[in-house]
Amino acid sequence: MSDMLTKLGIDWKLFIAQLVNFLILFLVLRFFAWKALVNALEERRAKIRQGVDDANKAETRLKEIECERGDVLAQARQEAAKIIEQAEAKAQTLKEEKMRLAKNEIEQQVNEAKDVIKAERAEAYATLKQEAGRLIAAATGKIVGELDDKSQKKLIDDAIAELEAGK
Amino acid sequence: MSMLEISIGPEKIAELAGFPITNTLLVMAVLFVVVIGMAISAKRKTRVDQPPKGIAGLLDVFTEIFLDYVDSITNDHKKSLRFFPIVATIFLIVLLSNLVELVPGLGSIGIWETHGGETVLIPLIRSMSADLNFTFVISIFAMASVQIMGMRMLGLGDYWGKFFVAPWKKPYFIGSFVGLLEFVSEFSKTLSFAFRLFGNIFAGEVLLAVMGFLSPFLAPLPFLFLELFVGFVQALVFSTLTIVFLTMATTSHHEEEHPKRADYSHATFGGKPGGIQVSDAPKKA
Repeated sequence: MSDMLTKLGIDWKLFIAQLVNFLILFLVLRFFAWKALVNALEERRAKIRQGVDDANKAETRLKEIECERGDVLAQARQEAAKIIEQAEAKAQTLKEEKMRLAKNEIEQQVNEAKDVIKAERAEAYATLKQEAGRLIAAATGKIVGELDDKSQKKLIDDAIAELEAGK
Repeated sequence: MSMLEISIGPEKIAELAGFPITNTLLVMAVLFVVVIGMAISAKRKTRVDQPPKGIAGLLDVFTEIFLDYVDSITNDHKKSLRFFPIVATIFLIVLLSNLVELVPGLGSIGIWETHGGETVLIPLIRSMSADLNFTFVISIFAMASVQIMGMRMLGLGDYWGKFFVAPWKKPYFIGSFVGLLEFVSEFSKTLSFAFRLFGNIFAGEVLLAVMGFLSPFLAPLPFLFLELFVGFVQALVFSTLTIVFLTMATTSHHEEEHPKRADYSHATFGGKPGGIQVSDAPKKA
């Protein structure tokens, strides 16, 4: 057995030396190289994953916000349209009301003016009647002469009344 | 002139206080310095938030690729993180030592010595993988880590229960016998690890030395490329097998679920009625 091992070049001293060397290399690599490298790698991957996740989240949030904005805009537009419609309706009623009021006032004024005209005419007529009576009295006095005033006036008044009735 | 000296073991080039210094130890010393330099560089230069560069960057790339490779075999990232230092060290050192055989001067730079009246050249450069001492060191290291990882991750009883099965339990003596075979195979794995690597690299060295001796120009070129490839493949094989053994050792045999088998008890020749019921098999469209 040991003869075979020697022939294969196995020497316990060399074996131990290689073992010690290898173990030192393993420990150095493990605690210096692999630890730092694997930690860095894992951290980097976690960061990248986080970054991608965040980006995705931001994108979905952005889409939501866009949607919300659209909704809000549509609602606002609808409301604005409603308000305008209401305003228009109000304006219409207001206009009608104003028109009605104006018409009434005009009618009233026209009536008042008519009344005034009527009164003035009546007054004018009365005055004319008196004036005409006096003129006629003067004229007839001149013609008839010495007819007493009392009977003269009565005569004139009768004639006027007769004229009015015949009119 | 002399003949080409081919020796299975490493050649002694000096002796220091009764301790033999062989050419493989010499190469190991150089590699030792190189690897420690790489490790320190990696420790100092590795940054999370900066692009990696230099030796640390190279190791960074290696780490990323190799960790994914380990992941693809273990299918368990936590396990991969625990196995990674072991297998990455094995891969790196075996690869570097395999590539030593491509160093110019292999088999030609050396010391002239007389052996039995004949002057022979004792080469100064010899790949460590062509030295059984070194390959045994790595294979024992690999198999020892397999055992230790198995015991640590499964617990002592569960782990050794794989090998020593009581003959009065379910598969009876067959189980005990299979367990014993498994136990022996742990030792044969160690042997096969060591001799596989040694055989490949030693053969490559001899091939290169002989080719260089017979026809020094052009003829060794394809073999140099071949050995470059063999060196890489052997390092990959060594570390892959270690990952596989680690994965096997850390998988509890209780939780291994066999896929449900087809139930043929209701089967008829037309396949109808009753048919063959396979619960977990994917249905054909």
